[in-house]
Amino acid sequence: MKAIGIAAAVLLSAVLPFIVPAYYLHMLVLTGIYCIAVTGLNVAMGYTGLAALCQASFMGIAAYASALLTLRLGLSFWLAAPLTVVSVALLSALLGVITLRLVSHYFAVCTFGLSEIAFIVFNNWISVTNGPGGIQDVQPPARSTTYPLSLIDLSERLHYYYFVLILLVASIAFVVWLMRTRTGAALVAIREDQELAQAQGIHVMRYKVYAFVTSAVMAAIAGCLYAHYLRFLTPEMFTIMESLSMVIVLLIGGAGTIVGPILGSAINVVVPEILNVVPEHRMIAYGLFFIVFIIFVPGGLIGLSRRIFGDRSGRTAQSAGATRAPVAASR
Amino acid sequence: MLISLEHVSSKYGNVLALRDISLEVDEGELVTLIGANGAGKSTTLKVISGIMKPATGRVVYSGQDTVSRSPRQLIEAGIVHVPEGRQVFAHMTVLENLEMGAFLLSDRRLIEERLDLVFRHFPILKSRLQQEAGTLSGGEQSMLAIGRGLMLRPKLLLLDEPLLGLSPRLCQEVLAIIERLHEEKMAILLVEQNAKAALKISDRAYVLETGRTVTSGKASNLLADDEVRKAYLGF
Repeated sequence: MKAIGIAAAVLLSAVLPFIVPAYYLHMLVLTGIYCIAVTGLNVAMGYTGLAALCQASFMGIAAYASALLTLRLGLSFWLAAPLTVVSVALLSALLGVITLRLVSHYFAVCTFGLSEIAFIVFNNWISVTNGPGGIQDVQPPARSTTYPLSLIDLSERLHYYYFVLILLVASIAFVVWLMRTRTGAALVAIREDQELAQAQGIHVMRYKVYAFVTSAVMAAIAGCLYAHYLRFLTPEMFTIMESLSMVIVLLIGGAGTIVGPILGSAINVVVPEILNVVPEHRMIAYGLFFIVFIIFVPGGLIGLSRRIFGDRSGRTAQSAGATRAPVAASR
Repeated sequence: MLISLEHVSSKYGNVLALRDISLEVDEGELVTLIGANGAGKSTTLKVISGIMKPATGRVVYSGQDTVSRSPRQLIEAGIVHVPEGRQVFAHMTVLENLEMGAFLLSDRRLIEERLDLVFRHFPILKSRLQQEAGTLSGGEQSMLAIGRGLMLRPKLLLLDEPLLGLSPRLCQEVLAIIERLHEEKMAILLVEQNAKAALKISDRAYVLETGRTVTSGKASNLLADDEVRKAYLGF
């Protein structure tokens, strides 16, 4: 049943460009990129319970880095992007080791600060980032015989869509795998009760840094994809508001579930499009959404569907199985 | 001596939680800490399990100073802490909770063996394996917390208020299990508000007051001591 669902979802995403009007292909690419970043955030926030409010900043740092490496140093995308991802991983590890000593809302405030600092750097380090003017003429990944992945022409929008889709599926597959390992169990234990997790011998700090870095790496992948797809960057793309909307998107979709980020990202793109919302009004709508969801739908849309359809397990086949005793009987 | 604390003090930020704690637990001994709220009982357990570090003084476990060792290393050395509070991972199943207790083990066969051991002590858990721990009754949650602690077969089990919020009948049940573990020669350091019940099954006890050990002795003597009874046991 589950396998069929997954196959259907992948198949649907593969044929989607041929179903929807051509104009929407652009939205699809952006949704895919966004979804990679939110899937990353889900590891830190949804599964580990770290309120990281700087996901868009990591995405921005990567976008700028990859763009500048190709433009200023003339590196190929196929070299610049991996280099960027590794650099962001190291940066996030360093930041994580320092900031993850703080718990819950203290950590959130700290990442809020990081987010502001990143924006100020994008906006004011004019000699490098060109400040508010942003960066133009970022090139799409070039065809090259040196790098094995680069044989398809990624200046073609449809091809870029499949490129994003592959990386998105890989990201999601990674999270699915991760959550089945001991590491995944440790992350959830930390979210549930940090002190109790520590009492089981879980090295809390190490796993938190791991989750934070994983999350940042996915943001970085999304950032690289973003820069070379849109071909221009401005600081406004990576403000704290963007980080916050990723959090809200995750909560709306369902934090700590595999499908949550996908659902949230899709809604994030589709709903404003249908309602024809001015971007400025989006945050107002999000604010309202946020309040409603926190109060009435704490599990996000996925939690809501579970409540309606009565599937409370949501984990793997083993916990859905046999001996779930009725709750009432134990009282 | 399995573990001894020598003139330990410890702080939360600037607040001194422990002023001068000295105590010992011998191999196979069941020792109880009693005292009012805020006397430092839970903090003492945290210092022993390495979650908190002493500001001054020494903690010696199996002849070695533990100060430089991480909580994880201490668990590997056989000190398992069952903290107070909700005590279980509420949104995980009973089985997942027990497996969490065996986080440091990777041998699947050994984990199965330990699960069987836990089910011998707590048959009720076996029938609740796939139930979310948060939906268990208070008594079952307490048993699950202790059961999870047993997954690593500790040499020293630290129990922080396992009777909290339990009905008198369930208290008796949990106490009986603690006694049985004691008979199996597991060293146990018990923190309990229900001092009378705890003292009845303990070998020895320490009385804590504002971060100091003020009295200690055989549990039966403390139970019989009028002054201790009036001041700390309230009966």
